[in-house]
Amino acid sequence: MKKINKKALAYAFPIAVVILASLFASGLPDTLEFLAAKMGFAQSVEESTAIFTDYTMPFMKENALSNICAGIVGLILLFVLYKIINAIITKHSNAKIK
Amino acid sequence: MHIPDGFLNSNLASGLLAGAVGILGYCFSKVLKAVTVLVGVLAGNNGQKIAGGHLAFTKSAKQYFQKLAIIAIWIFAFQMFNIPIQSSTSAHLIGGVFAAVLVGPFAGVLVISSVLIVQSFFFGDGGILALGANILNMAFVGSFLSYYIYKALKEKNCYLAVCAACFFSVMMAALFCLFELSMSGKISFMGAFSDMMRLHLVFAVLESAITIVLLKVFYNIMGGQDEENK
Repeated sequence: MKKINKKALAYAFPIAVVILASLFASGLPDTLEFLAAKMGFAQSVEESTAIFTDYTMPFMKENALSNICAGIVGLILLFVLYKIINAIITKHSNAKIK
Repeated sequence: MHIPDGFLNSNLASGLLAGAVGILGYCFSKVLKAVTVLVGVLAGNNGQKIAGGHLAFTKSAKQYFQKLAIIAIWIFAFQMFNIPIQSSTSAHLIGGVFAAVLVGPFAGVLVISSVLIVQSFFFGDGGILALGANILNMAFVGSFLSYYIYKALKEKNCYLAVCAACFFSVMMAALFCLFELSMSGKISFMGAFSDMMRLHLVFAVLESAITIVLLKVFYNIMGGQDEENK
């Protein structure tokens, strides 16, 4: 497998996972939410004001397409975050030592 | 496993957030040290002495950060995939062992923390004030500490090492979560212990299976298993 293809595959794989997750992931509460409901403290959760709350796009109906778009935005955000870290470090790595 | 805001006492959450900042700073410095070299500058024309030097990235540093980015986005994608573990609850990959096995414990903490930061700030998955607790539970315990279980056992059997590390990762992260919730007065530690551990036992099996499959897929795509086994 050529190097460029490997890299493309490495980035395509999580996109495929996001699409599958949006279509087939369980809507059941996770273990902590389940425990919170069972133990009676679920109501103390504070509402999130995040832009993509519950992995949905704002101004879109809550459906699989919205989940897919939000998931891909998440992947892009992480990619950009690492690009920024890489750029900052590269810029500051030429400090002279005497 | 992501603790939302409101579940933890604000004093405890703030303290854990401060602790997490310290952990991330230390891990970041260790990662930087691993990819930085001191380049000597020769003095004068005789070429015998070193006059000074400057810090520079190793040649593989760029690929290293690309690898961290790829691991982070894989984990983010898999954390979206909730799998039912009983009739009324579901779980998703933590990914701490997956990251730590591929890039070591310090970078593993950074990778999981970066995923948690993006999830909490942009997706409301885990609280912002509770981010410290989530980093402690899933990145530090779930990745950093679990790596040493893997390291101790990998010479004997690689699969056993991954399973043991995943088991430790999930159960200890759940235990820390339980401890934090009981310190915040939300639950009684002993009252919720059996429920929490029982649910996460199934979760640990799931984490082990997904981690092994993911590691295989990652090595197939990116290579590097031979280096890892050295």
